[in-house]
Amino acid sequence: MRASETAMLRVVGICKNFGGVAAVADVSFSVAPRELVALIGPNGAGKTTCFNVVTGFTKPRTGQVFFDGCDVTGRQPHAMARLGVVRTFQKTSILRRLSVFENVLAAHHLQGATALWRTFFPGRNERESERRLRASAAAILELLGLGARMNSEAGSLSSGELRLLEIAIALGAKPRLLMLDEPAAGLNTQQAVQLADTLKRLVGTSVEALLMVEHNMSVVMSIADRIVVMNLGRKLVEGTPEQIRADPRVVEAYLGKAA
Amino acid sequence: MDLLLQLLANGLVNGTFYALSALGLTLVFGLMRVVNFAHGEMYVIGGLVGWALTGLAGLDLFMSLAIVVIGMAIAGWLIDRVLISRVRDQGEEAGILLTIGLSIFLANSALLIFGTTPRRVISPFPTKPLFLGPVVLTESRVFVVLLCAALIVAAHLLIRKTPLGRAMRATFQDRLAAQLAGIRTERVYGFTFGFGTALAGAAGTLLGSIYVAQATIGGLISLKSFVVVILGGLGSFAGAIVGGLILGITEALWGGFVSTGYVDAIGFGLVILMLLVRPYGLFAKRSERV
Amino acid sequence: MRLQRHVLFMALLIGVLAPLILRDEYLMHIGVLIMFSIMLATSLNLIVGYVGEFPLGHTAFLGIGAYTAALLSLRLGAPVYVTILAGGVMGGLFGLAIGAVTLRLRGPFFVIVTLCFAEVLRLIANNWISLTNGPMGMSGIAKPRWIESQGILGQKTSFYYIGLVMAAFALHVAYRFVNSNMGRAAIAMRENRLVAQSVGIWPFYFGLVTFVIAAILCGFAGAFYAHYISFVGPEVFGFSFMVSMIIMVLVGGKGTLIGPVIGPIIIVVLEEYLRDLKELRLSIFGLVVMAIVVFRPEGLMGFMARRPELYAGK
Repeated sequence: MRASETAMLRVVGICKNFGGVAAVADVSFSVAPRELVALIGPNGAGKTTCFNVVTGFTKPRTGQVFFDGCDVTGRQPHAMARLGVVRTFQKTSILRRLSVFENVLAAHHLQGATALWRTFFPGRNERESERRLRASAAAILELLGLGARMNSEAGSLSSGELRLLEIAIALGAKPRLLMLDEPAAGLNTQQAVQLADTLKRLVGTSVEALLMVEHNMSVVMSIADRIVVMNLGRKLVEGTPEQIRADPRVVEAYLGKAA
Repeated sequence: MDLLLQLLANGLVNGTFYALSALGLTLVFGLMRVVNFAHGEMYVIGGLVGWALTGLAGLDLFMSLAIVVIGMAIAGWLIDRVLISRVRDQGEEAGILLTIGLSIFLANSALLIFGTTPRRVISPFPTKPLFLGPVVLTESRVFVVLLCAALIVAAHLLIRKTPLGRAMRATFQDRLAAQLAGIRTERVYGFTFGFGTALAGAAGTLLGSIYVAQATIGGLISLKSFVVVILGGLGSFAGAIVGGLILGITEALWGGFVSTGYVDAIGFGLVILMLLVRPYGLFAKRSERV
Repeated sequence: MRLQRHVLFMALLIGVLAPLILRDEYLMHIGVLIMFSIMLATSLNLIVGYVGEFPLGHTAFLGIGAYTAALLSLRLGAPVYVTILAGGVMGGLFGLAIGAVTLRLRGPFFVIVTLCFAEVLRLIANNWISLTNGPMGMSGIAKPRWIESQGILGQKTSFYYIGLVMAAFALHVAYRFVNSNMGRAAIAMRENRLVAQSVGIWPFYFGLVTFVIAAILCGFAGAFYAHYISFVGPEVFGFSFMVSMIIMVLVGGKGTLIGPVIGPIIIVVLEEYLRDLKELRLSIFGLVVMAIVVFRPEGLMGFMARRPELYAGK
């Protein structure tokens, strides 16, 4: 499958250095609507850096990012979220001291935006909006299976639940492209299978497309439409799960050259 | 032209004073990540104790300076072990609030003990004018400048050349690694804060022989030190010196050519400008954060 | 949130009824100070508790409000409701200008640069003699005529009720802010900046909005102060007000709604109680600040901030 003009996200020739080290060198890939794309590679391959460049947390040295055909290179994270690009983080990032419900409600921020003065003199529209936001937050939590933990303090969740909460938070921002950084990290086999199933169901329903960095191969192989393999900052190869599984370069990247 | 040279000379003299005053502040931040809002009060205590030792007890300046340095180092060590260590892991805000509370306590206590009268530390150097070409400086100022420079060099040597200095730098870079290497990091923090306190106190004693030692000036000293430290880069040794000189010269020139009323404000103007243009100061290295 | 609202209504009720029972000049004076302090504490609490930064130069807005009221009243003879309004507006404008510059910075840099701004304003107030009368300050600021005509008790009671209305307004503003979409954004930003950014919250903008709202409230308080004391000098930009604000917010508990009410009540009462130990007062305050930071950083009401909002399910 080639990168087409109808791609939602198009990353072209991204380069990013830290100090003297090229974290990412000339990386290009794309994500089309209704696609679930996985970005894989050994540690240090530059996957999270790519995420940071796409979502504006870092500016690339060269290269461009296109969303829906528009050049959005270097736009700030909140602006990218406004366009519909929302990400999670590798290290658990939640609002620890708030409740699970409050976390997802806070993520609905863009949906609830009203005129400044209305903040102090809310009318019927604002109250209605609040109701909708709260209902949406509850629905998202139910969808991800966290309904029972709605009122718990976010910091008290188990690691599996935390990853789900992070996804719930991202969903609260109503993304068109959901970008997940290692969603299956720290999950056991059964949790990972459930997560994979949930993610697959999200594409085309709650979100238009999904891009994820992931190390868990069984999750990747079972649900990805396309896989992009990175190594040492460069794109090694991309293709369907079958193509990737069979490619000797991928095996070598992970395990090193056979002696 | 002569006026310009005189103003520059004054500026360099004051700048050296500012540099020594601010050195303790920047080092404590550079080595401990603590912004010591009680810095000015430590300067004040150095000055007032210096006055007490030279004026009341009749000791000579060098002896008094030694006592102040040792005494303040111990006091700083105690403050770190008793207070700062408890909030060390809570982030910067806790340290800021704690030292603000400390500064309130110290300022008022100094006021209670010593009163509001401005005092002077008795210096063995005469106030005879010294003529260096077209420039006039008093002998006492020149000698104090030399002493300041000596202290700055001594501080530099301590940090760069001694085992203690190495331990300080190691602990700052990576506390866990330092501990694994056998460094007693809690003690090192105590020494570091004591070091910063001693420098502030020494500045207070020395400069108290030129200006005043007074319980109420702590806030102003803190502010001036912050200006220096922000100009030069929070945590940078060289930055404190360059920042101090810049402040000293700028104030002298402004006061000489423009007006004397707003001289203090020029430093704040510089800070605001600096924070807009280069927030981390002239010498701090900015690292990219992902 | 419910609990806090109930307590605040109770407090309001007590506040309204108190003067009818306590008909005493001195107590009314204490009441006025408490109302003034609640306005200040609420204002500072918005920034400390919801932006998560410490503006050590917050007195800038207090001073701006006070001087605006003084200038309008003395030079133009403007009536009180105009001066107080103007105090708030000027506070807001300065808040916009100062916030736009300082909110790009975090931590100790923010603390210091806000302090620099306050100091510059103090120096200007001290030196621009033609405008502000310099260190001599501006005295004789008029009280509203309907207050002037009353006896001392009546005057103080009138100011008390004005202060009560203004404090209630400040708390209302804070309450509405915290419970709105905006407030949630500010809290999210305070708790985890990365998450907030990734869901579309622009940290700089929200910091600025909060800052300006706090500055407006502080400006109102400054104008009120000018009319009550009838005198404004460069000290309004000074550190002693800042110390009071800090300690009130810390003691009451930052990031709560009741904290800025409890804190001022305790501190104002304590200050009066310690009047005899006047010289020791600040030393004790310093010790209190340190003690809170070390032992009880959440303040008295801090435990309330941690109760997660309960979802009243369908």
